[in-house]
Amino acid sequence: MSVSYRMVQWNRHKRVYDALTALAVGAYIAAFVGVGLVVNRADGGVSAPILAMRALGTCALVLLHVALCIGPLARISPLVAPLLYNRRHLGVTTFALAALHAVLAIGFYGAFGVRFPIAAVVDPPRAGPAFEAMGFGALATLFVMAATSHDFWLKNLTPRVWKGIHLCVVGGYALAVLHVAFGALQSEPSRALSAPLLAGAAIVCGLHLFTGWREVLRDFRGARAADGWIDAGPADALPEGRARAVAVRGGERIALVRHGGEVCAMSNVCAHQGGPLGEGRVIDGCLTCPWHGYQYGPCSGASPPPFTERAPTHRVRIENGRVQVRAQEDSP
Amino acid sequence: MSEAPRGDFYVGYLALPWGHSRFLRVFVPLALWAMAALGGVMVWSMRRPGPAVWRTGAVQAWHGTVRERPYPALELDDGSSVLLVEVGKRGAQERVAGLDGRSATVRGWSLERDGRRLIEVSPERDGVEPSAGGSRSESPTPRALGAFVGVGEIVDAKCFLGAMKPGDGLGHRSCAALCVEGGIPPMLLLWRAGEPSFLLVLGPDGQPIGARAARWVGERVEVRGEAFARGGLIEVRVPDGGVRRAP
Repeated sequence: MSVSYRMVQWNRHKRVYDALTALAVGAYIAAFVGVGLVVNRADGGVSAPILAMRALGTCALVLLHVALCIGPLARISPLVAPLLYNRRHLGVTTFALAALHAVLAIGFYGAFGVRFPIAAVVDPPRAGPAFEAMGFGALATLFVMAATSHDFWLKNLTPRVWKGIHLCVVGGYALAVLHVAFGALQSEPSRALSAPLLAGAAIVCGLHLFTGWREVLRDFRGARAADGWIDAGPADALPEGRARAVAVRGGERIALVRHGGEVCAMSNVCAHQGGPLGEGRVIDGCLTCPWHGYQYGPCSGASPPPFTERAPTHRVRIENGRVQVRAQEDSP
Repeated sequence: MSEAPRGDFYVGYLALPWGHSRFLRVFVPLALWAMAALGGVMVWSMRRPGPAVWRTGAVQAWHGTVRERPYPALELDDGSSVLLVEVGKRGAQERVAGLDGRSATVRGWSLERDGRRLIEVSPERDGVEPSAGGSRSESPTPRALGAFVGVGEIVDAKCFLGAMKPGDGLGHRSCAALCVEGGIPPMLLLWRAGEPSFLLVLGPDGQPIGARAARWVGERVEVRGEAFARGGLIEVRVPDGGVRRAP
């Protein structure tokens, strides 16, 4: 949490996360280049810029798959939460690798000729699919993601708009897969390359569909409001210091939290990135979001000073041992 | 005021819970090894570039007769022809202009693959040096070989013979198109029993096909035309509509 903007709000976890990301990228590229030099030794080797271009491009695609799988995996298991915490840096790293891949492609394939290098690569005379333009589209999408990843943009664009922009990563991913499928793979006879791409796409789509379907089903089975109140289950079912999300048929979920024996309710949507407050815990007297640790007073919905975030609250009453939550948000 | 123990609840700015710590101690080394293994498997699975060589060391010299058309070439004393190109993605048309049939020494670097050679002419003034007072010889008449139909890939001669490795395939399409647009000879690459053969792709009257070939490079195409032999090179003269994507 912060009240001012800094380039990066560093802490130990972010440093370790970034160091491990760099190590993983380094391991991939070192293995790619090392094995590439050995297996092509007999033919005098692949041209060095092409080898580097391939190493960077495939590494970016692998990281993009990882970044896209972290979200749904974190919905399935809370153990994945540490990978979600600093995913933005993973996204920026992915963009940086893809940008270097593009720079090498333009510099090596597009330079020294009779046309402007970028135009020569992105829009060559062609008979087949424009896989180069697809790659450029994917890179442009990743650039928008990386450029607007900072909390400055999240705050100023509003979380809803910011989230909408960042959902474009799905389109960017599709373009990246098509770029490879209609480009490099067309000249590669080995299934060892097409199989991982297909498997990766199946895993990404499968995880998102599975977790999305689960959430939709949960909302569909949500409680219906009667006289403006929603039945949220037995009062003693919610342990002290814990929270629970209550699905509301046709509406946004509500987070129930028990603190100091009192049951309170607020919007399930974290004001930061829309994290699920109902999956949070009470830490230091505040309901804490499981995504990035933003905190709210359990009954006031207000972040502790000097922070200014606020989650809309709902009135709660206990009737016959059951919790009832007012469907309407309290007036601010 | 009581509070539930944090237990397995992860918060990025607090100490790592024990459960997460145990998970990450297993996951992180596995992920790092998986990344290295994936990188190795990816490149190992990729197509080999083939035995093309670009002799970029010391400048070499060749003596022969310059041919301007259809593409710049040097006809050597043994009757074979070697195509000439400039440094970068440009043909040597300007360099040999007016020298057709003249005896000359060409200096530069050779690119070789599977018995086919091409010379990248040195950008120095003496890259193409006509012999003093030499007479001009007529270009040999192409010998008709008959109708031709073949399925292969149109490549730019310079990259495929060694300037880029690999210098073929769809990934290389934009570069090959740029080379062909710049005047580098397009060649139809045919594979028979794992051995490549190269045919110079020309327009219907034997003139350079130029940028028209650029849209077909990098793809598997069917080429129909008339084949001719000249100076150790096989040419295929392609009429309009003679190239299409291979079924």
